[in-house]
Amino acid sequence: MKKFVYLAVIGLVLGLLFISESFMLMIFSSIIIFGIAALGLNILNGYTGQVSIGHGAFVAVGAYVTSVMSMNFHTPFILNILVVIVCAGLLGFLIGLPALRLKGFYLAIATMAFGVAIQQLFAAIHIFGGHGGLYGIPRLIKSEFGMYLFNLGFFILMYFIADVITSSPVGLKYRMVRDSETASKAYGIKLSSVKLNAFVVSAIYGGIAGALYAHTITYISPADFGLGLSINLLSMIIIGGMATLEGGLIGSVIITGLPFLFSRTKVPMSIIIGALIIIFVLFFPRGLSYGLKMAFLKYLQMPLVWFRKLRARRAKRDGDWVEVNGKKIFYTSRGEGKPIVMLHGNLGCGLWYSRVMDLPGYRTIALDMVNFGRSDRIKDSEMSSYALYLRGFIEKLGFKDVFLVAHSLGGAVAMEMAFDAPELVSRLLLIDPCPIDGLHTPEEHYPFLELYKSNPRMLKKSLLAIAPHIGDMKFLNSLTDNAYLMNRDSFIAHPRGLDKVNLTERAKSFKKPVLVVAGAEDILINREMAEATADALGGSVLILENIGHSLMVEDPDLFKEVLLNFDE
Amino acid sequence: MLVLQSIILGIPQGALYGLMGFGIALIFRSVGTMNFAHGNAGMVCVFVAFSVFTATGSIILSILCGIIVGFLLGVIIDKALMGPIKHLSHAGMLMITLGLLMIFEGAAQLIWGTDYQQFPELLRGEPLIMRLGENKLIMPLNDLLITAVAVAVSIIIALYLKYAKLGIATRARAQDPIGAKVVGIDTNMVDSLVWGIGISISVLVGILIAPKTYIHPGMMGNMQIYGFTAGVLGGFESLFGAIAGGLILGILEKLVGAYISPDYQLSIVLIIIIIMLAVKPSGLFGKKSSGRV
Amino acid sequence: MLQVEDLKVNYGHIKAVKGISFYLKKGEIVSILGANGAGKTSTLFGLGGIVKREGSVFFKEENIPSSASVKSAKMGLILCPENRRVFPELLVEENLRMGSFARGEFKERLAFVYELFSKLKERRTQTAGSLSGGEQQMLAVGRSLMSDPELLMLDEPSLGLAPVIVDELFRVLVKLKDKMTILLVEQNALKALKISDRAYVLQNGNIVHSGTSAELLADESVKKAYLGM
Ligand SMILES: Nc1ncnc2c1ncn2[C@@H]1O[C@H](COP(=O)(O)OP(=O)(O)OP(=O)(O)O)[C@@H](O)[C@H]1O
Ligand SMILES: [Mg+2]
Repeated sequence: MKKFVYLAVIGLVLGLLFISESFMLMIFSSIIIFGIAALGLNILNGYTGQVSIGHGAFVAVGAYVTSVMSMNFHTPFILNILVVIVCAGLLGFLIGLPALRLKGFYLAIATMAFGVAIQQLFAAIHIFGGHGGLYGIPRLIKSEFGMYLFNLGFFILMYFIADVITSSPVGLKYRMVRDSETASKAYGIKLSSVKLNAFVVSAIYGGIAGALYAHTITYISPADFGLGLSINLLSMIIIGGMATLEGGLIGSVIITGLPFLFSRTKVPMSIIIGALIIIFVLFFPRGLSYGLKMAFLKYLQMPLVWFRKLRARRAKRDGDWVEVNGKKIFYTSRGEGKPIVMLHGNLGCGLWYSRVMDLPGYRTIALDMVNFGRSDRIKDSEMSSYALYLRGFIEKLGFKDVFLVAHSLGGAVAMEMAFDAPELVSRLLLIDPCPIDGLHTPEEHYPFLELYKSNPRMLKKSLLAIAPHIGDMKFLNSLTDNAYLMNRDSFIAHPRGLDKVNLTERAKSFKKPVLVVAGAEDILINREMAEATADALGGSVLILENIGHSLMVEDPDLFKEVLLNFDE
Repeated sequence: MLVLQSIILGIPQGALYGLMGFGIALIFRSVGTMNFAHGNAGMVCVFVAFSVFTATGSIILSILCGIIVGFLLGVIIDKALMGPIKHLSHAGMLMITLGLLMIFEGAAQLIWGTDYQQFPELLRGEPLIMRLGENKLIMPLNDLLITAVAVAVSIIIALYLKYAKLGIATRARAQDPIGAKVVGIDTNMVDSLVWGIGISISVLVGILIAPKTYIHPGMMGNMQIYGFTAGVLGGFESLFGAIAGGLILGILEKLVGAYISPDYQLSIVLIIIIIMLAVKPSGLFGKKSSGRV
Repeated sequence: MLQVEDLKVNYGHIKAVKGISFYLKKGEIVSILGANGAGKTSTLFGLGGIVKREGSVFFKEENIPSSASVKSAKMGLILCPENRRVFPELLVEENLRMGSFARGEFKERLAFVYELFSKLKERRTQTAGSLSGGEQQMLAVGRSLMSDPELLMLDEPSLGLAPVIVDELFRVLVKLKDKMTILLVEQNALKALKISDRAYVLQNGNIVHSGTSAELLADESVKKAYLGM
């Protein structure tokens, strides 16, 4: 619903801004009208995958029918539009019938022939004014602004209907037919009825656009609705974005609006449109709509990222630095007694353990690993490098026999280090650790990980997803702030690195006590993974109900309890 | 007698449609691209011929230049654009050739403007007058020449494809690209050649119709539609189907003009095509009548 | 004659051949054996320049770059591809003429091929598509012989042929042995080993066994996996 309100508000504001410039309002109207036609074509071409280069014909039908009716019989618009819908729908059905048997190039030829045939028919029939066309079509509303609002209203209505159709089961069928005819047949979809449906719906959109066009421009001729218009409509959805609702409008802004922009230069529009078509098909097949969405997600929130980084650096955190191999490592230490070293996960820092640092009888140490938080950056993002620095860190502090607690990615680091230097470790508590044979991130998730770099809202949401019971939103906020202190390259490099982890062989020689804890609601590490890891290490598993991926932030008391029990 | 007259008058026109369809079918069959920019690629080169004609006054030289530039343009289209994107879907290729269509049209407008330019007839002189009963049928010499050229070009290309080594290789490449590669046929070269020949044919058609339609950026628009139609009628499966389809189309058009009204010529012909596509997509002479991809 | 080092063939993410090395000496018949999908066809496609490949291929001491199908055909490194791949709408004789497209004296080679496969001579004015499967296979082999190959790579020439015809085909191959070197890919491992000097066994894009035919025939694991013995 928000979309439609935005559309209405933006449309209204634009209209009000230019209320005294009727020429601009006329351009806006044209953009909206062709936007409707392109939206209809997108239903046929984008959603259902049926190419049409004869869509101008439906626009022509709408324009001529309403013009002839209102000029000769003075019928009200509401009646005209109903007749237009019926005529365009029928025509869509008629061309849809032969098109059922055709695909690709042949369908393109058939629809092209259809478009030109209709155009020629209008040119040949006397009451349609022949090649000269029709003049003086009555306007529905005298003022240009009123006409613009009228068109805008229609656009929003048609947009809403398209939204309903495409997200309904019918819309799903459209897409299935487009993606694989064989598969949709196997699902019992009747190809012919789905395709006919799409043809009729998209024809009606074209007809309505034509009717609005006639009453807005007040002059029509067959030349307005030829192959040129059909190609323009196609280029709108190519440029704007196939199979998106907003693509048609975006394309129309470019294709309908561009001529006015270039009206002073000598460059013909067709060169620009032709070049745009080729460029978009080859290099941006998803169109501007996708590009704009990505740009919005990527760049618009960049200042927020800077702000969060700054806030994370400024926030007070008690702690110390030690230097390992020339890199400074930041850590917080609390209490006295048996040393416990705590390792955070991906996108984390020592802060993740801040709620569980008070453990009587223990000295708890939570560090920011290199590349994370306040510690220095290193060149790579390999688990093995992190393990080396961790080992250096433990040796620097002079510990033997530390109790290692590690979360998620930290689990991989901890195991790696523990297998390298078992003498430094007394026991291992792994909280939803990276599985012993690696954690695979599907390739299609990487673009999203890329987005986390520059979109705090998405990152925050994903942190919430791995710590669903965190409760305290201020704490989540500060964890998000600190996540941005991580090396930017690591956003992608960490999942890649975790994919490569394979410690099954090396785990065999590790003989210290191990406990693997996993939340039953963890979306990353499931029960099987936790069990496999524990098996390989010869340890035990504890599955906790009502806990996600991050026990220590979700239920600090339970964490302490688990830890103390394990150490007995 | 009207029938006979329509047939005789339809032949020169039909020969041109056939030639146009032949060029489109040649590219489609060999390379797999339905070239929606076929007409406009030819149109641009007709403008080049026109410029050469204005500069030198030699009609032969201008035609030669036009055709050679057409060949080069075809090669460039293949090497620069279509060759590297052979993996694209049909819809993708379709859109790209539509883009080319627009670019050519705009380029012609930019360079030569939108005025109608005159190009001389190749043959002038007393028209041929035939007597059919009490009717007299007037056949301009230029029309005779058009028919002769169209027939001659078709025959030459037919012979080339049938007997020349490269001609057979062209057919071979269309039938089995991997088979063609293993015998050492340079399939990229063959593709470029096909594009070159195809576009040259379009230029030739453009030059032949130029005296009647005049030269302007939209001159080939309908011609291209007729070319597709000829191909559909005859079936893109066989190259000569396109020629036959063109002839049938030319005659049909004249018949519609004579018996119904010239105003409806194009529409009726196009509607026939749509029906034809729906009923028998492989064309009048095609073997299979299954849906075409 | 042929020296292949570290040959790799990829189709996007799929690694079909993962870096194999092998050689052929002049006058040898060498077989490549392996299960379905082992990468045999991909190997030959890589050598013949039909698909992109990595690694170095030296033919007659000359480096053959990747995707150089024209060059390798001109030099006499000829592939007779899997599934025949004859030109269905061309006449038999036109098919053979295309065989001599890159090299080979047409008339002389035609006589040679017709002598070898007299059936083709009978059918020479028929379209290749109208031949029976076996005849098409003969045509495919005949077509590659038209170019006077120095090294003939045959990909499953016995596919879909009746056992009698297969025997005849293998007799022809043996006859050809003194005229050219042959690299043979076969499902019919036993028959292939019988006529070849050496063989390589491919599995998942790697060479897992190699040796003389006699050695492989004696090898228990090869016997079990590929010869069904
Ligand atoms: N064009 C292709 N695209 C993607 N993968 C391919 C392609 N061709 C082959 N492959 C894959 O490459 C692997 C090797 O295929 P190849 O055809 O070389 O096997 P082969 O040994 O010839 O098998 P067969 O005995 O069945 O002919 C197979 O896994 C196959 O699926
Ligand atoms: Mg194979």
